[in-house]
Amino acid sequence: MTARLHWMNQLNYAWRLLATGFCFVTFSVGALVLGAVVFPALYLTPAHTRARRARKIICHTFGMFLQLMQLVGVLKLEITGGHTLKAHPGALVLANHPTLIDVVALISLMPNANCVVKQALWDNFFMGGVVRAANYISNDEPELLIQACAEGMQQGNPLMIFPEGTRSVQGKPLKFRRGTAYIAMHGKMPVIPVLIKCTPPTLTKGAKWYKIPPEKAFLQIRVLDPIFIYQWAKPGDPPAIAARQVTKRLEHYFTEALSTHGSTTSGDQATHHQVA
Amino acid sequence: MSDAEILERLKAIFEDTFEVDTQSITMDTHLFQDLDLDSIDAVDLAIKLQTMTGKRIKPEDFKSVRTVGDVVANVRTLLAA
Repeated sequence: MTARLHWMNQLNYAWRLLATGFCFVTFSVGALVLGAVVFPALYLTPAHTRARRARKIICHTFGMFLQLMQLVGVLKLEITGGHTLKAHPGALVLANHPTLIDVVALISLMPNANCVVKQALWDNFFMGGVVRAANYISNDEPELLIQACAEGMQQGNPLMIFPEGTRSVQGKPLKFRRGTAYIAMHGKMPVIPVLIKCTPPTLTKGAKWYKIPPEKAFLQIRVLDPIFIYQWAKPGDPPAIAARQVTKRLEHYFTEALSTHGSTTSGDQATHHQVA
Repeated sequence: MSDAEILERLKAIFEDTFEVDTQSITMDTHLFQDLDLDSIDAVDLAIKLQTMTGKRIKPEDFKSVRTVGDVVANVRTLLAA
C-alpha cells in the first residue's frame, strides 16, 4: 500500500515538473509574442491609449496563464477581497512578494495597473517588450520614480509596489524600502494592503524553475481594506524622518497581518473567488 | 576646514536629517549598509552639502559615494574648487 502511494507521489511529482516546464515555456513564448507581434500592432491605435490597452491585454493574458497553471495542476489559487481593488482605482497597492507567481496573480486582478518594475527587465529578452509597451515605471532613478508614480495615479490608475523591492526572503523579518512611504506621503492616496502566502514556497528568490515544491503550491491572496499610511507621518517632521517612521509602522503592520494570514481560511466569512 | 571638522558637520547632518546614531561613525562607515541610508537620502544629503559648502554638486560625482570618507573627500574637493 505504501509502495503504491510512493509510486503515485513520484508520478505526481514528475507530472508537475513537466507541467511547470510547460508553463514556463508558455509564459516566455507568450511574452515574446506579445512584445514582438501584439504590442507593435498597438501603434495603429492613438498614442495616449496604447499603454492602457497593453496593460489590459497583460491583465487578461496573465489571468489566462493562471487558469492554465491551475488546469495542469501546478497551482491552487485562492483570492479573498479582490473586489476591493476594483473599488479603489487610484490606490497604492502594496504586497509582500514570496514568489514569482504573486505578481502575475495581482496584475490579473487589475486591468489598468501600473507597476514599479526593476530596471533589468527592460533589457530582458522575453519581458522587455511587455514592460516597455505597458509603460511601467523603472526603479532606476529614485526622484523620477516618485514623480512618475504620482503622475500615473492622478490619472486614476492603481499602482502596485512590492515595498521590499525584491522577493521576500523566507524566514527573515520583512524589510521595506522607504520609497513606498515617500510615494504615499507625496500622493496622499489610499493604500490597499495585500497579503500573500504560498505553501509550500515555490519560485522564491534565486530558485530555479525545476526546483518544484513537494506538493502543489497553494497561493493565497488576501486583499485588505484601504488604510491611509500618509496620516502616520507626524506633521512637521522632515520627509526623510517621516518616511522612516511610516516605513517602520508599515513593516509592523504587514508582519502582524501576515502572521495570521492563511491560518483562518476554512472558517472565513469573506467571499472567495477564483480568477476568471 | 579640516577633515575632522567636515566629519563633525556631517555627523550633525546625519543626526538631524536621518536620525542616525552618530557615535560610532568613522570614515569607513558605509552609508547604505551601516547607516541604512537609501538613494533618496543620498539626494537629500547632496542638497544639504550644497547648502553647507555653497557649491554645486554634480550628481555624477556624488553617485560613486559609498562611505562617510567618500563624502568627506567630496566636500574637501568642493571647498577647494
